[in-house]
Amino acid sequence: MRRDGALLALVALAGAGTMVVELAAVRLLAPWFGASAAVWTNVIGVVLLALAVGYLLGARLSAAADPLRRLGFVLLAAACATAWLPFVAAPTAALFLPDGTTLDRAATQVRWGSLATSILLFLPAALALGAVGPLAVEVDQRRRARNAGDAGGRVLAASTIGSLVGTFGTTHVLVPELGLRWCFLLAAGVLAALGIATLWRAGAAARGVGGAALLVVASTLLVRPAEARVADGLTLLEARQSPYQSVRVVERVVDGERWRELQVNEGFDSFQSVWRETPGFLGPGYYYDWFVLPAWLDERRDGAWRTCVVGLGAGTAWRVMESTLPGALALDGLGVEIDPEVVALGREYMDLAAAGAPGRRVLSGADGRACLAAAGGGFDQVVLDAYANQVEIPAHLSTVEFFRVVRDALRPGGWLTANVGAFDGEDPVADALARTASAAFEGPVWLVRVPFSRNVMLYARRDAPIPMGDAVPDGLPHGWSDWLRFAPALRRVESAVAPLTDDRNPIDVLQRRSLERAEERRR
Amino acid sequence: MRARASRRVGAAMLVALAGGAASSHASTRQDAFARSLEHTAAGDYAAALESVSAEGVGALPRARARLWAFHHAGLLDEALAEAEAALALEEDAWLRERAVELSVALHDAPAARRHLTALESAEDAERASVAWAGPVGELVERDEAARRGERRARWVVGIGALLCGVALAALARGRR
Repeated sequence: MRRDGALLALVALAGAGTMVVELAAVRLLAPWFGASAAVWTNVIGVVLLALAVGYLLGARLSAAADPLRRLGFVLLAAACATAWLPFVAAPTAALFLPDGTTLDRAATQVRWGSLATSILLFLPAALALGAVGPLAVEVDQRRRARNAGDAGGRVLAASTIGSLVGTFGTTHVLVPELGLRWCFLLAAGVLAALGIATLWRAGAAARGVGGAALLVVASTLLVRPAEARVADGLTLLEARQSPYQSVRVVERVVDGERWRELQVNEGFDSFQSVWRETPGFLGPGYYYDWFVLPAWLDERRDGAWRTCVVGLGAGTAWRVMESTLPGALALDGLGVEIDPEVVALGREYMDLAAAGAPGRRVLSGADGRACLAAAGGGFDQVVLDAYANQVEIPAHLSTVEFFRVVRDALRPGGWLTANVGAFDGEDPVADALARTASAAFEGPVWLVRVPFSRNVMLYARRDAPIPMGDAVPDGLPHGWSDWLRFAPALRRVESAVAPLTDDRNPIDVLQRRSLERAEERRR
Repeated sequence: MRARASRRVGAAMLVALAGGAASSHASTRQDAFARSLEHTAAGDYAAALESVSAEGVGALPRARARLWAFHHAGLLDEALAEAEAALALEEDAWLRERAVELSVALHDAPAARRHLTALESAEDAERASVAWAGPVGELVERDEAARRGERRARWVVGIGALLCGVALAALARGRR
């Protein structure tokens, strides 16, 4: 019974190790390739392919006279292949995505680069872990003289339960608490210990090999892993692993003034939030300034300006709005940010309001759509600035059903302002979002290009006209009056048909088309 | 997407453009051109484009003024398109240099190389072409490195898939 339980525990731990490798793999690649659906697909695909080969390899190895010894070797091989992952990730990724690659250029390379990197990095470990199952079945069957189905079922159940524990443990405990390096090293250490214990039972001759493998794993403790490079002129203030992404804050000094950027999964030239030492407008190229425009176009000039920011990040939208609202309007902000680490870093480095501050409420760890639906109505403005993995608009925050939720959350005359990553107003992503918002708001919406950036702002309004184009008032700050009459920067969109719905939402396809369109225009 | 902004070129460009305006002979053209620059400097880009839309304004000054307006406005792709449309009809060293500059700002390596090559063969543009050789070379090198990376990735994927396929086939056959 004890031997029986030990074998199943070994299988369960190997199953957990497989999931640690698979889930942490995406996080390991994220600094170079992001953690988009395409990267997940590539990693999962490679792991599944490796497991298939590993199963057959295990089946072949199980025919040997002593499958227990081979099981020990396989576990040691998996341990070695896992232990080195944090140390070889950077040079491997650099083979396919060189330093200095810009975000728009890199986006087209992510699919091939992440797939190739996954093959080189994760295939060996997953292949070895795949061989564990068949070998364990063979050991169990020989030892207990059971039928194959009985042994296979028990091993599969143990492996699956181990995988389950590995899945939850990796995301919620190991990566946030230990970081990636120690997460992989812990998995490798456990696999190495299992391998050595197995070889110990298999016979003394294998102990030397086990000791050598243990040395290989232990030697990785002395190596410092390479990390994604911080660009010249930037100082790294802090880097953390959150349950969702790699997050870091960097600082630069421009004309004696400190600027800070919060970057996620960074390998490219983009940022998630920005902080300027002096509050107020950030200046050319920063779309955050354009979140304030509705307050200046609105009729109200005093009282609380109730705003809900979906995708608060580290609070850049609030920081800009706090000091640039017109008249006696005072910001009353609800902010929704799914990543608590981003909020924590915002409070530490970017003057994001502390918990309990009057007129500021942050819902961290919460989803924007659910929060908005539950927040009640009456907002003057909803700001949508939610991105995942640098460039991806979350699908459920781009549909007509979501925009109806936004509309219902606004007071009559209230505004939606959405930041859209797009090359111009005709961009496929901007076009689809604008038509979807128009259908939900049952009226025209406006797309406004942000100067010196690749961002387009989308403005919609509940049951009231939007004074843009010929109707724009004089005297707006920041040169807005002139800009909002400048036809090449504007596009009015009206549509009764929504191209993006909860049922059918090809937003990821549109984002790919957006990049392909930009590439075609270069040729 | 929070792509980092490209930066303005600055006052040197305006000075160069004003020099181009002074070389125009017809006073109406000069007036329209100068008005366009004034509107651009004031941030009224719609008026800047309107000023040079009249028939009396030559194609080259119009293109220069429009490019300047778009560039100052921060619509760099529109500015580059303006330059390229004008250069397709008539060579102009100033427009060509701006095309190089805009291509670099937009990270458009093929366009930057193409325009730099044309600039190198233009008269009175030796200094400009030398000045831009470095940034363009750097951009082209980065672009080629990225393309090499993609090619390398495709090879690795192909070879990896082939090896896995062979391994699957060989292992699935079992022992005879």
